[in-house]
Amino acid sequence: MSDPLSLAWNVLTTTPAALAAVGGVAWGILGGALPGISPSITMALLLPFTFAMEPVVALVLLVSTYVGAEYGGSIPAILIRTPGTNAAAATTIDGYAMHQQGRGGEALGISLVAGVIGGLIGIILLVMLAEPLSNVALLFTPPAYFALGILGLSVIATLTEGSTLKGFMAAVIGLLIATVGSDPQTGVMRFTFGRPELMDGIPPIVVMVGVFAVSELLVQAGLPPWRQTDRDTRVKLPSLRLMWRCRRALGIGSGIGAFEGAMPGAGGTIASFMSYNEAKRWSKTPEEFGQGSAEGIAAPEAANNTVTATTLVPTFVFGIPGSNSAAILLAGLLMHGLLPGPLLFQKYPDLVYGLFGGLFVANFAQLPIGILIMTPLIWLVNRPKPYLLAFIYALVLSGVYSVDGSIFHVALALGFGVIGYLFRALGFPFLPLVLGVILGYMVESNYRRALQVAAGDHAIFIDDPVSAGLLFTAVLFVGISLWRNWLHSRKASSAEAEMKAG
Amino acid sequence: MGKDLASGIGMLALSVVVYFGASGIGTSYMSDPIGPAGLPKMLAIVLGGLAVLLIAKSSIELFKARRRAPIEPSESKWRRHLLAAGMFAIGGAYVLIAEVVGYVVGIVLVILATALYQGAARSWQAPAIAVGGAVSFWLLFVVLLNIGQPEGLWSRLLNSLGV
Repeated sequence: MSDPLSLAWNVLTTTPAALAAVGGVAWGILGGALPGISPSITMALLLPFTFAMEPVVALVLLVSTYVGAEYGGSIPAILIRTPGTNAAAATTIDGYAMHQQGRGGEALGISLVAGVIGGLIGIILLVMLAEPLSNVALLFTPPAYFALGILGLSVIATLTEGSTLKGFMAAVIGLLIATVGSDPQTGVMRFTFGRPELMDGIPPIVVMVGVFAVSELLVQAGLPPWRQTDRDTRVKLPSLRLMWRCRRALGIGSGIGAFEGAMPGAGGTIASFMSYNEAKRWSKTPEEFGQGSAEGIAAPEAANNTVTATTLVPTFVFGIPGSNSAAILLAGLLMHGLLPGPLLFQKYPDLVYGLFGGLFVANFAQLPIGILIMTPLIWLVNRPKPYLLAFIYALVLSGVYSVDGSIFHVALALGFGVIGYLFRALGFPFLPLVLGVILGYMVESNYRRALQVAAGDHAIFIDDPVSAGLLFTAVLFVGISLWRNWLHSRKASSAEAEMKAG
Repeated sequence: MGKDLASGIGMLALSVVVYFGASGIGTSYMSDPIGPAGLPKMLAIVLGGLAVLLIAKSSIELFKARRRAPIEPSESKWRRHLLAAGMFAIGGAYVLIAEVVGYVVGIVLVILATALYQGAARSWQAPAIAVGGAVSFWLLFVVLLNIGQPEGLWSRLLNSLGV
């Protein structure tokens, strides 16, 4: 019983992982269907409760939530022209047009089936790529691990939305948060202010629930009520003929989703919009796009579901999550004392392949669950917003307390909620901050270990070829990003000057 | 003052606070070349440098835009911030009272306060839903999943008496 398939089967039949996959999908569809509640927030709400679970069950639950949320996001996108998730925004165009033509159920069916196909293609790629790539990580020494952390932070800081400068500031703040608690080398206390709760540092889970979930609640408090969803819609599965007609769009969506998912910082939103454009470009009937085209739904939905699987490649291989949702999954991994990289595949193959098996079950479970829970789901998301927010708030407060029974951590999560709110208001991205918190320990401990070996000589980071290559790539990324920003601002000012002259 | 300028000044202040805070970190005979204060100080310097760049960039942009009409923050924006502050206060109040009144009563109050604050109708339904919700949460987390939640003064007192 040591081949990947047997390992996955063993986990799925001897643990509640399959049940977690089904539950996660249902929870994810519900979260995704609530406008403003992104997949990462849906996962963050669940994260504290996974603390006491068996690692493989916890991870399957989280990843299934991600899968479900991507489909859930398309429900309000199709029915009320309000995407439940950012990645579902492209689905709004043709999905809502179909709904206006009285074909909302068909649009939901196409979204569901396209998502399942995209997700399955993503899993195949994940299984093929993850383990071979993880062997590359065997070449890594402490300087290389430090450089990898710096590369991850640089890529995320430069690629996430908003200004590069603010992205770097967010990453530095994340690294600073990670320095709270006892020093990894000497045990000396840092920034603990005499609080025993801070001696072990600030758990990334508390930061994540704060910046994702609490800040969203604070934002939602000031927004108008959500629009009501059409109560009578039922999912109508598309015919095989229709799906065959969409094969090109499905291929484009899955291809782009696979590539974007494996790239840190890209994520489902870019993938779904890119695949929508490409599917339109390569379609035999591009004139139907925007008027209720099945291909216009199939391409973005296949893309964002492929991303749910391929985004796990950089997360599992190098510990660099490509999106907010992958960052939460990484936090779930670290929370159970598991480190990503080749050792994860060697020491815990049952966990890795059990997770892949759970992902597979979650993708298939989407179909029946998506159909079965549609009516209660629509009833639930149509409840008055004040009560929905109140229950989510209660869930957040209960969840954070359950991590280690500390009301201090609840207060901290609320504090990080305010920081998240300020970040949103001032245009700072979240992901670099979260990544800084997650990677902080790896960056600092390897930096200091490397310098200890080299008797304080920083040349060790250049002498090590892997480290030098990674640091060079980081510099290249930052350089290209700054150059692109400079070009953009020059173009903007020349356009402004032309407007004034005109 | 622009958002970026305000952010830059705030971050610069934070970097100064962190730098001096890090200067107070103790040392150990086991210290390596960097020491426990090394990285926080380095990060504070980097944050300060980035903040100065942001201040410079936003000042130039503000200077360039000086002829444009200033954009005043709209009233609705401030209202949104106030509503967010109120929501935060409800969470803050829970932190203060949860270990006194216990989980169920605390959650009843959170659900009730949040729903009413967000504009739920003031009828018998609001407290009924709050009580029903809190009891459901308690049954799910404490009874079914055995996940610990704040006990409250009475519960602790009864426990200490062995009841």
